[in-house]
Amino acid sequence: MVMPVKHPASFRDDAGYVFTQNHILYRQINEYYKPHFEALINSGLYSELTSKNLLISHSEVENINADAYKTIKPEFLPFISYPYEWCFEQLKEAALTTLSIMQISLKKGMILKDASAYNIQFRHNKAILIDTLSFEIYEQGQPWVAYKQFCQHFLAPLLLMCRVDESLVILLCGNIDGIPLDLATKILPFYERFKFSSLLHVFMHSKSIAKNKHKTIADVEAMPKTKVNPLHLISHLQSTIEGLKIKREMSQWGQYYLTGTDEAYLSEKEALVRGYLDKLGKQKVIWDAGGNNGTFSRLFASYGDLIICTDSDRNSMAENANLNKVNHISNIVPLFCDLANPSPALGFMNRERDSFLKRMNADLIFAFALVHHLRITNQISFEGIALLFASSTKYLLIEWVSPNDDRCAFLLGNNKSIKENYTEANFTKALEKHFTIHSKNTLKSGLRTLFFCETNKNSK
Amino acid sequence: MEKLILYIDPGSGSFLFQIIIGGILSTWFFLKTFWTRIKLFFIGNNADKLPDDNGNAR
Repeated sequence: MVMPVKHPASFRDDAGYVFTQNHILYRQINEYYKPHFEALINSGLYSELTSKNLLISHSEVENINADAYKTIKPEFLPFISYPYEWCFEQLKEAALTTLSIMQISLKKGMILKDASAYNIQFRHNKAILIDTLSFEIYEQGQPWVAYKQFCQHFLAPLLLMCRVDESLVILLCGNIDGIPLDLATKILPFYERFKFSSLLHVFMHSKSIAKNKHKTIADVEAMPKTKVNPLHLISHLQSTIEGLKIKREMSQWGQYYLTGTDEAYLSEKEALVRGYLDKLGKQKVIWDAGGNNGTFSRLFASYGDLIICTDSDRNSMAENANLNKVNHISNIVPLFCDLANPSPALGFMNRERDSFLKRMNADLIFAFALVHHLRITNQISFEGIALLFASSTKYLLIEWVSPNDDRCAFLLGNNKSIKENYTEANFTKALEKHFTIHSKNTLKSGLRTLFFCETNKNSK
Repeated sequence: MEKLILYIDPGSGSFLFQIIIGGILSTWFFLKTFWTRIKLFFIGNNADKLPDDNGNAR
């Protein structure tokens, strides 16, 4: 019998933990959590949240470990993303989803004891809570235990993204439990303290945390007992977050497809790719690497159960998410990924949050019009590019961009050392070290070639 | 007898802060509801859309 393996990130909660056995993910519920789990089910909260697609559904299975109260098998998600890989709109949706869940829970006499952004994932174009053990029975009049966590995981990053720069979400990478509020107060512009919501939830909140740091239990017990209504707090946080908006212009890639690329090239490429995909059949996970605003992800969305479309431009990601919603395409998840610097492994023993490449186990990768950027701009060798993709997929569809192509020639400029090395022969040689090339088609212009490859068994 | 000084959890500062701002947020919530009522009076009497005391839609 295969022994169950506890997930390294699942150690903070006494209520239970996540483990895998035979590659199936389970969640153990400990005896301690029994009254809360029973309340979740018996109050109707679980059925209301799952029917509204706000909470991941699960099925109860036989206990695997002897010390378990119950064991559940949550619905499987093929890819887990992290908040520092989201754009502003995605983090905002995750925050509002958390607050909606909290509102519904309070009606049923429960609250969210965790408000971690890592507990939210995107499924069918919608944010969903994946931690079934985040709920606890609410004691009337008590403050919200996860208020500080909510502000650190959602409000502070959203304010920084909105008021300073969207890329500041990366601060979540260095702060595993959200951006500390005192750090946020130092980065936010001075005028932000004149906005009531920011003053209250970030500036004054941060001061209060610092001021009460040395209070003893006796000091707290001596304070007057005032009851609070968390719904008023939730409602205020909701209004605050709904009001946050980033003014976006069309991304450089949106314009690229409108003005920079001729239709004949696009339709020829589409027909070729469709031909490969028809032969290959439907895949589980497709990674559209450097997928810009998701134009090709949407064209070939029906060929994959899930399409992870990554780009290093959050404007493109936001445009992608918006276009998917408009076109009712629900199997594309836009994520941030700089291929020259993908998300690292984080947390205790570097095992709480896996690196992007460890999580990415695709069946097929699209790497269209990407090689010249990686080779010339990022100075990654052809061998490095081949290795990057070989370690993450079974099949690869990659586009070679000739040095005579206008865009490639512009990037090459006067870089003599790369110019000499940048040849299709060298590229093919590097590919062949890790892949078997099944077919190769040069487009009519003669400037771009599509390679359809399969990863060699010893390269994965 | 030696007096033990037990420090509270660092997150408790946030807990105390909620007690302090509870009144402010209740006032905000009252004003928001009041303002919604005024708007609805002029737009059209649609009291069903008003939140109840707990902030829930009716």
